[in-house]
Amino acid sequence: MNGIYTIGKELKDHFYLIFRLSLYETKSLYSMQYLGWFWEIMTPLLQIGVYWVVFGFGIRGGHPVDGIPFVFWLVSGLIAWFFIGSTIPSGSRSIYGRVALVSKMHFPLSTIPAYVILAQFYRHLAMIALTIVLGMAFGYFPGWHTFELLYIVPAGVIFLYAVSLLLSALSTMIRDVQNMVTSAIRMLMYLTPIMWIPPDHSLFKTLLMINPLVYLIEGYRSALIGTGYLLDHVWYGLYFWTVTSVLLVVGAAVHLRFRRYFIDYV
Amino acid sequence: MSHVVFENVSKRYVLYSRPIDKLKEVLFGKVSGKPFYALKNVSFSVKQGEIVGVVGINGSGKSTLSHLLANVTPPTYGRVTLGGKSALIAISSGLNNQLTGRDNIELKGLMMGLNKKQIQEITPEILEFADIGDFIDQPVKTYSSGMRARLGFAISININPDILIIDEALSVGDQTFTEKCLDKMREFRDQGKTIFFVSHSLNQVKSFCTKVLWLEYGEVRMFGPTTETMAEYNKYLYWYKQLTKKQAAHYVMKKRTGRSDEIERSTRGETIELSS
Repeated sequence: MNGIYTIGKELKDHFYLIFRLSLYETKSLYSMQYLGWFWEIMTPLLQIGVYWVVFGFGIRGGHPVDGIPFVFWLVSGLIAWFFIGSTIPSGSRSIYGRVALVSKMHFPLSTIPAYVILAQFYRHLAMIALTIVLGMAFGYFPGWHTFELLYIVPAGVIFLYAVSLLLSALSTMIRDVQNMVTSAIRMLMYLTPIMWIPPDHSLFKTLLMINPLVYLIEGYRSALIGTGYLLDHVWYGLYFWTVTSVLLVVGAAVHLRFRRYFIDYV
Repeated sequence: MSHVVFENVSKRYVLYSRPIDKLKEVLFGKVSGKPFYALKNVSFSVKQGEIVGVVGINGSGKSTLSHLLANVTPPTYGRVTLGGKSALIAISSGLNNQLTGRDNIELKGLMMGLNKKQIQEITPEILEFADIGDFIDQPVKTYSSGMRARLGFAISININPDILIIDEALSVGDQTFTEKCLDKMREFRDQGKTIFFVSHSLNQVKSFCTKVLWLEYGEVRMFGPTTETMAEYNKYLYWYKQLTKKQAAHYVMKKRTGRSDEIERSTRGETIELSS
Protein backbone atom coordinates (compact mmCIF):
# COMPACT_ATOMS: atom_id res chain seq x y z
CA MET A 1 0.00 0.00 0.00
CA ASN A 2 2.91 2.33 0.80
CA GLY A 3 4.13 1.74 -2.73
CA ILE A 4 0.89 3.02 -4.22
CA TYR A 5 1.15 6.12 -2.06
CA THR A 6 4.72 6.80 -3.23
CA ILE A 7 3.81 6.33 -6.89
CA GLY A 8 0.67 8.44 -6.51
CA LYS A 9 2.66 11.26 -4.95
CA GLU A 10 5.25 11.14 -7.73
CA LEU A 11 2.54 11.38 -10.37
CA LYS A 12 0.85 14.26 -8.55
CA ASP A 13 4.10 16.20 -8.01
CA HIS A 14 5.13 15.84 -11.63
CA PHE A 15 1.83 16.56 -13.28
CA TYR A 16 3.15 19.39 -15.45
CA LEU A 17 6.11 17.23 -16.50
CA ILE A 18 3.83 14.35 -17.51
CA PHE A 19 1.64 16.72 -19.50
CA ARG A 20 4.53 18.35 -21.39
CA LEU A 21 6.33 15.09 -22.06
CA SER A 22 3.14 13.52 -23.42
CA LEU A 23 2.87 16.39 -25.92
CA TYR A 24 6.48 15.89 -27.01
CA GLU A 25 5.81 12.18 -27.27
CA THR A 26 3.02 12.74 -29.81
CA LYS A 27 5.05 15.43 -31.52
CA SER A 28 8.10 13.27 -32.10
CA LEU A 29 5.86 10.38 -33.16
CA TYR A 30 4.39 12.32 -36.06
CA SER A 31 7.13 14.72 -36.99
CA MET A 32 8.27 12.38 -39.74
CA GLN A 33 4.95 12.37 -41.50
CA TYR A 34 3.24 15.10 -43.46
CA LEU A 35 -0.26 13.99 -42.51
CA GLY A 36 0.37 12.86 -38.90
CA TRP A 37 -3.09 13.55 -37.51
CA PHE A 38 -4.76 12.32 -40.63
CA TRP A 39 -3.26 8.85 -40.08
CA GLU A 40 -4.28 8.97 -36.43
CA ILE A 41 -7.90 8.93 -37.60
CA MET A 42 -7.53 7.14 -40.91
CA THR A 43 -5.92 3.91 -39.64
CA PRO A 44 -8.68 3.14 -37.12
CA LEU A 45 -11.36 4.08 -39.67
CA LEU A 46 -9.96 1.56 -42.16
CA GLN A 47 -9.83 -1.09 -39.45
CA ILE A 48 -13.43 -0.38 -38.47
CA GLY A 49 -14.40 -0.69 -42.12
CA VAL A 50 -12.78 -4.10 -42.43
CA TYR A 51 -14.32 -5.49 -39.22
CA TRP A 52 -17.69 -4.11 -40.21
CA VAL A 53 -17.60 -5.92 -43.52
CA VAL A 54 -16.17 -9.19 -42.16
CA PHE A 55 -18.09 -9.50 -38.90
CA GLY A 56 -21.14 -7.35 -39.63
CA PHE A 57 -22.03 -8.46 -43.14
CA GLY A 58 -19.95 -11.60 -43.56
CA ILE A 59 -20.67 -13.40 -40.30
CA ARG A 60 -23.79 -11.71 -38.96
CA GLY A 61 -25.40 -11.05 -42.31
CA GLY A 62 -26.07 -7.44 -41.44
CA HIS A 63 -28.29 -8.16 -38.39
CA PRO A 64 -28.33 -5.61 -35.58
CA VAL A 65 -27.28 -6.56 -32.02
CA ASP A 66 -30.31 -6.40 -29.67
CA GLY A 67 -31.76 -3.77 -31.94
CA ILE A 68 -28.54 -1.70 -31.99
CA PRO A 69 -27.06 -1.13 -35.48
CA PHE A 70 -24.01 -3.39 -35.71
CA VAL A 71 -21.57 -0.68 -36.77
CA PHE A 72 -22.44 1.53 -33.79
CA TRP A 73 -22.26 -1.45 -31.42
CA LEU A 74 -18.90 -2.43 -32.94
CA VAL A 75 -17.37 1.05 -32.84
CA SER A 76 -18.33 1.82 -29.25
CA GLY A 77 -16.46 -1.28 -28.07
CA LEU A 78 -13.68 -1.05 -30.60
CA ILE A 79 -12.54 2.46 -29.64
CA ALA A 80 -11.92 1.17 -26.12
CA TRP A 81 -9.92 -1.67 -27.61
CA PHE A 82 -7.87 0.68 -29.82
CA PHE A 83 -6.86 2.52 -26.67
CA ILE A 84 -6.11 -0.64 -24.68
CA GLY A 85 -4.39 -2.47 -27.53
CA SER A 86 -2.02 0.37 -28.35
CA THR A 87 -1.33 1.46 -24.78
CA ILE A 88 -0.35 -1.87 -23.22
CA PRO A 89 2.50 -2.69 -25.65
CA SER A 90 3.85 0.86 -25.69
CA GLY A 91 3.43 1.17 -21.92
CA SER A 92 5.31 -2.05 -21.42
CA ARG A 93 8.15 -0.91 -23.66
CA SER A 94 8.11 2.61 -22.22
CA ILE A 95 10.86 2.32 -19.63
CA TYR A 96 13.54 0.27 -21.31
CA GLY A 97 13.18 2.40 -24.43
CA ARG A 98 13.90 5.58 -22.51
CA VAL A 99 15.81 4.77 -19.38
CA ALA A 100 19.16 5.48 -21.02
CA LEU A 101 17.90 8.98 -21.85
CA VAL A 102 16.45 9.94 -18.53
CA SER A 103 18.60 8.08 -16.04
CA LYS A 104 21.43 10.53 -16.57
CA MET A 105 19.42 12.57 -14.16
CA HIS A 106 17.20 12.11 -11.15
CA PHE A 107 14.05 11.31 -12.93
CA PRO A 108 10.91 9.80 -11.42
CA LEU A 109 10.67 6.73 -13.64
CA SER A 110 7.08 6.02 -12.61
CA THR A 111 5.98 9.00 -14.72
CA ILE A 112 7.18 7.36 -17.94
CA PRO A 113 4.30 4.89 -18.35
CA ALA A 114 1.95 7.71 -17.33
CA TYR A 115 3.02 10.10 -20.05
CA VAL A 116 3.14 7.36 -22.67
CA ILE A 117 -0.47 6.52 -21.82
CA LEU A 118 -1.44 10.19 -21.80
CA ALA A 119 0.06 10.62 -25.27
CA GLN A 120 -2.36 7.97 -26.57
CA PHE A 121 -5.21 9.40 -24.58
CA TYR A 122 -5.71 12.52 -26.72
CA ARG A 123 -6.54 10.43 -29.75
CA HIS A 124 -8.84 8.31 -27.61
CA LEU A 125 -10.83 11.36 -26.50
CA ALA A 126 -11.26 12.41 -30.12
CA MET A 127 -12.53 8.94 -30.96
CA ILE A 128 -15.06 9.01 -28.11
CA ALA A 129 -16.39 12.30 -29.46
CA LEU A 130 -16.63 10.88 -32.99
CA THR A 131 -18.46 7.82 -31.67
CA ILE A 132 -21.04 10.03 -29.97
CA VAL A 133 -21.58 11.79 -33.30
CA LEU A 134 -21.93 8.43 -35.03
CA GLY A 135 -24.51 7.40 -32.43
CA MET A 136 -26.52 10.53 -33.10
CA ALA A 137 -26.58 9.69 -36.79
CA PHE A 138 -28.34 6.44 -35.81
CA GLY A 139 -30.69 8.23 -33.44
CA TYR A 140 -28.87 7.44 -30.19
CA PHE A 141 -28.57 10.77 -28.44
CA PRO A 142 -26.48 11.40 -25.33
CA GLY A 143 -28.45 11.06 -22.11
CA TRP A 144 -27.93 10.17 -18.47
CA HIS A 145 -25.98 7.09 -19.50
CA THR A 146 -23.35 9.34 -21.11
CA PHE A 147 -22.25 10.36 -17.60
CA GLU A 148 -21.02 6.81 -17.14
CA LEU A 149 -18.06 7.91 -19.28
CA LEU A 150 -16.85 9.88 -16.26
CA TYR A 151 -16.52 6.54 -14.49
CA ILE A 152 -15.46 4.10 -17.18
CA VAL A 153 -12.78 6.27 -18.86
CA PRO A 154 -10.82 6.90 -15.63
CA ALA A 155 -11.33 3.23 -14.70
CA GLY A 156 -9.71 2.26 -17.99
CA VAL A 157 -6.81 4.68 -17.52
CA ILE A 158 -6.10 3.45 -13.98
CA PHE A 159 -6.25 -0.18 -15.12
CA LEU A 160 -3.88 0.55 -18.01
CA TYR A 161 -1.46 2.42 -15.77
CA ALA A 162 -1.39 -0.51 -13.32
CA VAL A 163 -0.71 -2.97 -16.13
CA SER A 164 1.93 -0.73 -17.74
CA LEU A 165 3.71 -0.09 -14.45
CA LEU A 166 4.10 -3.82 -13.84
CA LEU A 167 4.92 -4.81 -17.42
CA SER A 168 7.39 -1.98 -17.97
CA ALA A 169 9.39 -3.06 -14.92
CA LEU A 170 9.32 -6.72 -15.94
CA SER A 171 10.18 -6.14 -19.58
CA THR A 172 13.11 -3.92 -18.64
CA MET A 173 14.63 -6.81 -16.73
CA ILE A 174 13.44 -9.64 -18.94
CA ARG A 175 13.05 -8.57 -22.54
CA ASP A 176 11.01 -11.69 -23.41
CA VAL A 177 8.08 -10.13 -21.59
CA GLN A 178 7.69 -7.73 -24.48
CA ASN A 179 7.22 -10.57 -26.97
CA MET A 180 4.72 -12.15 -24.61
CA VAL A 181 2.78 -8.90 -24.40
CA THR A 182 2.67 -8.51 -28.17
CA SER A 183 1.25 -11.96 -28.78
CA ALA A 184 -1.08 -11.79 -25.78
CA ILE A 185 -2.58 -8.55 -27.12
CA ARG A 186 -3.08 -10.13 -30.52
CA MET A 187 -4.98 -13.05 -28.95
CA LEU A 188 -6.95 -10.93 -26.51
CA MET A 189 -8.33 -8.89 -29.37
CA TYR A 190 -10.30 -11.95 -30.46
CA LEU A 191 -10.80 -13.50 -27.02
CA THR A 192 -12.53 -10.36 -25.82
CA PRO A 193 -16.06 -10.07 -27.22
CA ILE A 194 -15.46 -6.89 -29.22
CA MET A 195 -16.53 -7.98 -32.68
CA TRP A 196 -18.74 -10.94 -31.78
CA ILE A 197 -21.37 -11.75 -29.19
CA PRO A 198 -20.91 -14.66 -26.77
CA PRO A 199 -23.94 -16.98 -26.41
CA ASP A 200 -26.18 -15.93 -23.50
CA HIS A 201 -26.14 -17.62 -20.07
CA SER A 202 -23.41 -20.05 -20.97
CA LEU A 203 -20.50 -21.25 -18.91
CA PHE A 204 -18.36 -19.95 -21.76
CA LYS A 205 -19.63 -16.42 -21.20
CA THR A 206 -18.80 -16.62 -17.51
CA LEU A 207 -15.31 -17.91 -18.27
CA LEU A 208 -14.74 -15.00 -20.65
CA MET A 209 -15.50 -12.60 -17.83
CA ILE A 210 -12.33 -13.66 -16.01
CA ASN A 211 -10.70 -11.26 -18.45
CA PRO A 212 -11.19 -7.82 -16.86
CA LEU A 213 -11.06 -6.18 -20.30
CA VAL A 214 -14.61 -7.47 -20.88
CA TYR A 215 -15.76 -5.10 -18.13
CA LEU A 216 -14.08 -2.14 -19.82
CA ILE A 217 -15.43 -2.93 -23.29
CA GLU A 218 -18.98 -3.50 -22.06
CA GLY A 219 -18.63 -0.46 -19.81
CA TYR A 220 -17.85 1.71 -22.82
CA ARG A 221 -20.89 0.30 -24.61
CA SER A 222 -22.99 0.98 -21.55
CA ALA A 223 -21.88 4.62 -21.51
CA LEU A 224 -21.99 5.28 -25.26
CA ILE A 225 -25.10 3.29 -26.23
CA GLY A 226 -26.95 3.04 -22.95
CA THR A 227 -27.06 -0.75 -22.59
CA GLY A 228 -27.23 -0.45 -18.81
CA TYR A 229 -24.44 -3.02 -18.41
CA LEU A 230 -22.57 -1.15 -15.69
CA LEU A 231 -25.57 -0.86 -13.38
CA ASP A 232 -26.53 -4.51 -13.97
CA HIS A 233 -23.05 -5.81 -13.16
CA VAL A 234 -22.05 -4.27 -9.84
CA TRP A 235 -20.41 -7.49 -8.65
CA TYR A 236 -18.42 -7.79 -11.82
CA GLY A 237 -17.34 -4.19 -11.24
CA LEU A 238 -16.10 -5.22 -7.81
CA TYR A 239 -14.10 -8.01 -9.43
CA PHE A 240 -12.62 -5.53 -11.92
CA TRP A 241 -11.46 -3.21 -9.15
CA THR A 242 -10.02 -6.09 -7.16
CA VAL A 243 -7.94 -7.17 -10.15
CA THR A 244 -6.87 -3.55 -10.77
CA SER A 245 -5.85 -3.06 -7.13
CA VAL A 246 -3.81 -6.25 -7.08
CA LEU A 247 -2.05 -5.20 -10.30
CA LEU A 248 -1.38 -1.76 -8.87
CA VAL A 249 0.03 -3.08 -5.59
CA VAL A 250 2.24 -5.65 -7.32
CA GLY A 251 3.27 -3.19 -10.07
CA ALA A 252 4.20 -0.48 -7.57
CA ALA A 253 6.16 -2.93 -5.43
CA VAL A 254 8.13 -4.37 -8.36
CA HIS A 255 8.77 -0.93 -9.84
CA LEU A 256 10.04 0.58 -6.60
CA ARG A 257 12.08 -2.47 -5.68
CA PHE A 258 14.00 -2.61 -8.96
CA ARG A 259 14.01 0.84 -10.49
CA ARG A 260 17.44 1.75 -9.16
CA TYR A 261 18.82 -1.10 -11.22
CA PHE A 262 16.88 -0.58 -14.45
CA ILE A 263 19.86 1.09 -16.10
CA ASP A 264 22.04 -1.97 -15.43
CA TYR A 265 19.61 -4.15 -17.37
CA VAL A 266 19.45 -2.04 -20.51
CA MET B 1 34.54 20.87 3.07
CA SER B 2 34.53 17.69 1.04
CA HIS B 3 32.12 17.85 -1.80
CA VAL B 4 32.35 14.37 -3.24
CA VAL B 5 33.33 11.35 -1.15
CA PHE B 6 33.80 7.76 -2.26
CA GLU B 7 34.18 5.20 0.53
CA ASN B 8 35.25 1.71 -0.51
CA VAL B 9 33.07 1.87 -3.59
CA SER B 10 32.87 -1.22 -5.77
CA LYS B 11 30.71 -1.80 -8.79
CA ARG B 12 30.00 -5.31 -9.93
CA TYR B 13 28.62 -6.32 -13.27
CA VAL B 14 27.68 -9.91 -13.85
CA LEU B 15 28.68 -11.63 -17.06
CA TYR B 16 26.02 -14.18 -17.81
CA SER B 17 26.81 -17.20 -19.88
CA ARG B 18 23.15 -17.89 -20.53
CA PRO B 19 20.23 -15.45 -20.47
CA ILE B 20 18.36 -17.74 -18.06
CA ASP B 21 20.95 -16.94 -15.37
CA LYS B 22 19.91 -13.32 -15.51
CA LEU B 23 16.29 -14.33 -15.02
CA LYS B 24 17.27 -16.43 -12.01
CA GLU B 25 19.03 -13.45 -10.50
CA VAL B 26 16.02 -11.22 -10.98
CA LEU B 27 13.66 -13.78 -9.47
CA PHE B 28 15.74 -15.30 -6.67
CA GLY B 29 18.50 -12.75 -6.13
CA LYS B 30 21.15 -15.41 -6.61
CA VAL B 31 24.19 -14.37 -8.64
CA SER B 32 24.85 -17.25 -10.99
CA GLY B 33 26.99 -15.56 -13.65
CA LYS B 34 30.63 -14.62 -13.54
CA PRO B 35 31.12 -11.44 -11.52
CA PHE B 36 33.22 -8.68 -12.98
CA TYR B 37 34.29 -5.74 -10.88
CA ALA B 38 34.48 -2.51 -12.89
CA LEU B 39 35.54 -0.63 -9.75
CA LYS B 40 37.26 -2.14 -6.72
CA ASN B 41 37.41 -0.45 -3.31
CA VAL B 42 37.65 3.05 -4.74
CA SER B 43 38.04 5.68 -2.04
CA PHE B 44 38.83 9.35 -2.45
CA SER B 45 37.42 12.70 -1.46
CA VAL B 46 37.33 15.93 -3.40
CA LYS B 47 36.90 19.44 -2.05
CA GLN B 48 34.63 22.10 -3.44
CA GLY B 49 36.02 24.09 -6.37
CA GLU B 50 38.40 21.44 -7.61
CA ILE B 51 38.76 20.23 -11.14
CA VAL B 52 39.61 16.58 -11.11
CA GLY B 53 41.00 14.95 -14.21
CA VAL B 54 40.18 11.25 -14.51
CA VAL B 55 42.70 9.34 -16.58
CA GLY B 56 43.37 5.72 -17.33
CA ILE B 57 43.67 3.43 -20.31
CA ASN B 58 40.61 1.78 -21.87
CA GLY B 59 38.72 -0.50 -19.51
CA SER B 60 39.98 1.12 -16.36
CA GLY B 61 36.50 2.06 -15.14
CA LYS B 62 36.34 5.74 -16.08
CA SER B 63 32.84 5.54 -17.51
CA THR B 64 31.54 3.52 -14.57
CA LEU B 65 32.99 6.16 -12.27
CA SER B 66 31.25 8.95 -14.16
CA HIS B 67 27.96 7.04 -14.02
CA LEU B 68 28.30 6.69 -10.26
CA LEU B 69 29.11 10.39 -9.94
CA ALA B 70 26.08 11.31 -12.01
CA ASN B 71 23.93 9.03 -9.86
CA VAL B 72 22.88 7.09 -12.92
CA THR B 73 23.61 3.75 -11.37
CA PRO B 74 24.08 2.72 -7.72
CA PRO B 75 27.31 1.21 -6.39
CA THR B 76 27.25 -2.47 -5.46
CA TYR B 77 29.18 -1.92 -2.23
CA GLY B 78 30.37 1.16 -0.43
CA ARG B 79 29.05 4.67 -0.15
CA VAL B 80 29.03 7.60 -2.57
CA THR B 81 28.28 11.00 -1.06
CA LEU B 82 27.52 13.84 -3.44
CA GLY B 83 27.40 17.40 -2.16
CA GLY B 84 24.67 18.52 -4.56
CA LYS B 85 23.01 17.99 -7.90
CA SER B 86 25.27 16.44 -10.51
CA ALA B 87 25.06 16.51 -14.29
CA LEU B 88 26.83 14.30 -16.78
CA ILE B 89 27.86 15.54 -20.19
CA ALA B 90 28.73 12.78 -22.58
CA ILE B 91 29.04 12.68 -26.36
CA SER B 92 25.70 10.97 -26.74
CA SER B 93 24.00 13.78 -24.94
CA GLY B 94 20.52 12.30 -25.00
CA LEU B 95 18.88 14.69 -27.42
CA ASN B 96 15.70 13.64 -29.19
CA ASN B 97 16.46 13.60 -32.91
CA GLN B 98 12.90 14.13 -34.09
CA LEU B 99 12.35 17.30 -32.09
CA THR B 100 13.75 20.77 -32.70
CA GLY B 101 16.62 22.20 -30.70
CA ARG B 102 14.27 24.50 -28.84
CA ASP B 103 11.99 21.60 -27.90
CA ASN B 104 14.99 19.66 -26.71
CA ILE B 105 15.96 22.48 -24.39
CA GLU B 106 12.58 22.30 -22.69
CA LEU B 107 12.48 18.51 -22.73
CA LYS B 108 15.87 18.14 -21.14
CA GLY B 109 15.20 20.93 -18.67
CA LEU B 110 12.03 19.16 -17.56
CA MET B 111 13.81 15.86 -17.23
CA MET B 112 16.48 17.48 -15.10
CA GLY B 113 13.80 18.74 -12.75
CA LEU B 114 13.53 22.40 -13.71
CA ASN B 115 10.16 24.13 -13.77
CA LYS B 116 8.67 26.15 -16.59
CA LYS B 117 9.97 29.48 -15.34
CA GLN B 118 13.53 28.26 -14.79
CA ILE B 119 13.59 26.84 -18.30
CA GLN B 120 12.46 30.13 -19.78
CA GLU B 121 15.20 31.91 -17.87
CA ILE B 122 18.05 29.73 -19.07
CA THR B 123 16.93 29.40 -22.71
CA PRO B 124 18.60 32.66 -23.92
CA GLU B 125 21.89 31.66 -22.26
CA ILE B 126 21.74 28.25 -23.89
CA LEU B 127 21.06 29.77 -27.32
CA GLU B 128 23.93 32.18 -26.87
CA PHE B 129 26.34 29.48 -25.75
CA ALA B 130 25.38 26.84 -28.32
CA ASP B 131 25.53 29.41 -31.13
CA ILE B 132 23.66 27.40 -33.75
CA GLY B 133 21.60 30.23 -35.19
CA ASP B 134 18.47 29.43 -37.15
CA PHE B 135 19.00 25.71 -36.76
CA ILE B 136 17.52 25.96 -33.29
CA ASP B 137 14.05 25.58 -34.79
CA GLN B 138 15.04 22.63 -36.98
CA PRO B 139 14.93 18.97 -35.92
CA VAL B 140 18.12 17.84 -34.19
CA LYS B 141 18.60 15.08 -36.78
CA THR B 142 19.60 17.77 -39.29
CA TYR B 143 22.45 18.99 -37.04
CA SER B 144 26.10 18.27 -37.58
CA SER B 145 27.83 16.34 -34.82
CA GLY B 146 29.54 19.51 -33.62
CA MET B 147 26.23 21.35 -33.35
CA ARG B 148 24.73 18.45 -31.45
CA ALA B 149 27.60 18.39 -28.99
CA ARG B 150 27.42 22.16 -28.53
CA LEU B 151 23.71 22.08 -27.81
CA GLY B 152 24.06 19.15 -25.39
CA PHE B 153 26.90 20.86 -23.60
CA ALA B 154 25.10 24.20 -23.47
CA ILE B 155 22.00 22.66 -21.93
CA SER B 156 23.83 20.61 -19.31
CA ILE B 157 26.07 23.46 -18.25
CA ASN B 158 23.27 25.98 -17.98
CA ILE B 159 21.02 23.92 -15.72
CA ASN B 160 23.50 24.92 -13.06
CA PRO B 161 24.61 21.67 -11.48
CA ASP B 162 26.78 21.60 -8.37
CA ILE B 163 28.90 18.79 -9.73
CA LEU B 164 29.70 18.59 -13.40
CA ILE B 165 31.03 15.45 -15.03
CA ILE B 166 32.46 15.78 -18.51
CA ASP B 167 32.99 12.43 -20.18
CA GLU B 168 35.01 12.85 -23.36
CA ALA B 169 32.51 15.45 -24.50
CA LEU B 170 35.03 18.03 -25.63
CA SER B 171 36.74 15.81 -28.14
CA VAL B 172 34.21 16.55 -30.89
CA GLY B 173 34.19 20.35 -30.89
CA ASP B 174 36.67 22.57 -32.69
CA GLN B 175 39.34 24.63 -30.97
CA THR B 176 37.22 27.73 -30.40
CA PHE B 177 34.38 25.78 -28.88
CA THR B 178 36.72 23.82 -26.64
CA GLU B 179 38.17 27.13 -25.45
CA LYS B 180 34.69 28.45 -24.76
CA CYS B 181 33.87 25.35 -22.73
CA LEU B 182 37.07 25.53 -20.76
CA ASP B 183 36.36 29.20 -19.99
CA LYS B 184 32.90 28.30 -18.79
CA MET B 185 34.33 25.57 -16.60
CA ARG B 186 36.84 27.96 -15.03
CA GLU B 187 33.91 30.21 -14.25
CA PHE B 188 32.24 27.21 -12.64
CA ARG B 189 35.27 26.45 -10.56
CA ASP B 190 35.38 30.03 -9.30
CA GLN B 191 31.77 29.64 -8.17
CA GLY B 192 32.92 26.78 -5.94
CA LYS B 193 31.59 23.92 -8.04
CA THR B 194 33.31 20.62 -8.52
CA ILE B 195 34.21 19.35 -11.95
CA PHE B 196 35.25 15.88 -13.02
CA PHE B 197 36.96 15.84 -16.35
CA VAL B 198 37.29 12.43 -17.99
CA SER B 199 39.62 12.71 -20.94
CA HIS B 200 42.24 11.04 -23.04
CA SER B 201 43.66 14.42 -23.98
CA LEU B 202 46.61 14.65 -21.62
CA ASN B 203 47.29 18.25 -22.58
CA GLN B 204 43.82 19.40 -21.62
CA VAL B 205 44.08 17.55 -18.32
CA LYS B 206 47.49 19.07 -17.60
CA SER B 207 46.52 22.63 -18.41
CA PHE B 208 43.18 22.59 -16.73
CA CYS B 209 42.88 20.21 -13.77
CA THR B 210 43.93 20.85 -10.21
CA LYS B 211 44.06 17.18 -9.31
CA VAL B 212 44.23 13.92 -11.19
CA LEU B 213 42.65 10.57 -10.39
CA TRP B 214 44.40 7.76 -12.20
CA LEU B 215 42.39 4.58 -12.49
CA GLU B 216 43.84 1.27 -13.50
CA TYR B 217 41.52 -1.69 -14.02
CA GLY B 218 39.02 -0.55 -11.45
CA GLU B 219 41.47 0.55 -8.78
CA VAL B 220 42.85 3.93 -7.84
CA ARG B 221 46.47 3.79 -8.90
CA MET B 222 47.23 7.35 -7.86
CA PHE B 223 45.34 10.42 -6.73
CA GLY B 224 47.16 13.70 -6.26
CA PRO B 225 48.30 17.02 -7.70
CA THR B 226 48.29 17.23 -11.49
CA THR B 227 52.01 17.53 -12.21
CA GLU B 228 53.16 14.56 -10.16
CA THR B 229 50.34 12.23 -11.13
CA MET B 230 50.62 13.08 -14.81
CA ALA B 231 54.37 12.51 -14.75
CA GLU B 232 53.82 9.05 -13.27
CA TYR B 233 51.00 8.34 -15.72
CA ASN B 234 53.20 9.31 -18.65
CA LYS B 235 55.92 6.97 -17.44
CA TYR B 236 53.35 4.20 -17.13
CA LEU B 237 52.01 4.80 -20.65
CA TYR B 238 55.54 4.64 -22.02
CA TRP B 239 56.20 1.41 -20.12
CA TYR B 240 52.90 -0.10 -21.23
CA LYS B 241 53.57 0.71 -24.88
CA GLN B 242 56.88 -1.14 -24.93
CA LEU B 243 55.32 -4.38 -23.62
CA THR B 244 54.96 -7.15 -26.18
CA LYS B 245 51.46 -8.23 -27.05
CA LYS B 246 51.75 -11.33 -24.91
CA GLN B 247 53.14 -9.46 -21.91
CA ALA B 248 50.41 -6.84 -22.19
CA ALA B 249 47.66 -9.46 -22.37
CA HIS B 250 49.07 -11.25 -19.35
CA TYR B 251 49.32 -8.00 -17.41
CA VAL B 252 45.74 -6.97 -18.25
CA MET B 253 44.43 -10.42 -17.30
CA LYS B 254 46.18 -10.34 -13.96
CA LYS B 255 45.07 -6.81 -13.15
CA ARG B 256 41.52 -7.28 -14.24
CA THR B 257 40.73 -10.39 -12.25
CA GLY B 258 43.15 -9.77 -9.42
CA ARG B 259 42.12 -8.63 -5.91
CA SER B 260 38.44 -9.28 -6.60
CA ASP B 261 38.28 -11.32 -3.41
CA GLU B 262 39.55 -8.39 -1.38
CA ILE B 263 36.45 -6.34 -2.09
CA GLU B 264 35.08 -4.67 1.02
CA ARG B 265 31.54 -6.01 1.25
CA SER B 266 30.42 -4.63 4.61
CA THR B 267 28.33 -1.72 3.33
CA ARG B 268 25.59 -2.33 0.83
CA GLY B 269 25.96 0.17 -2.00
CA GLU B 270 24.24 3.52 -1.62
CA THR B 271 24.42 7.01 -3.08
CA ILE B 272 23.64 9.90 -0.80
CA GLU B 273 22.86 13.25 -2.36
CA LEU B 274 23.01 16.17 0.02
CA SER B 275 20.85 19.10 -0.96
CA SER B 276 22.95 22.18 -1.39
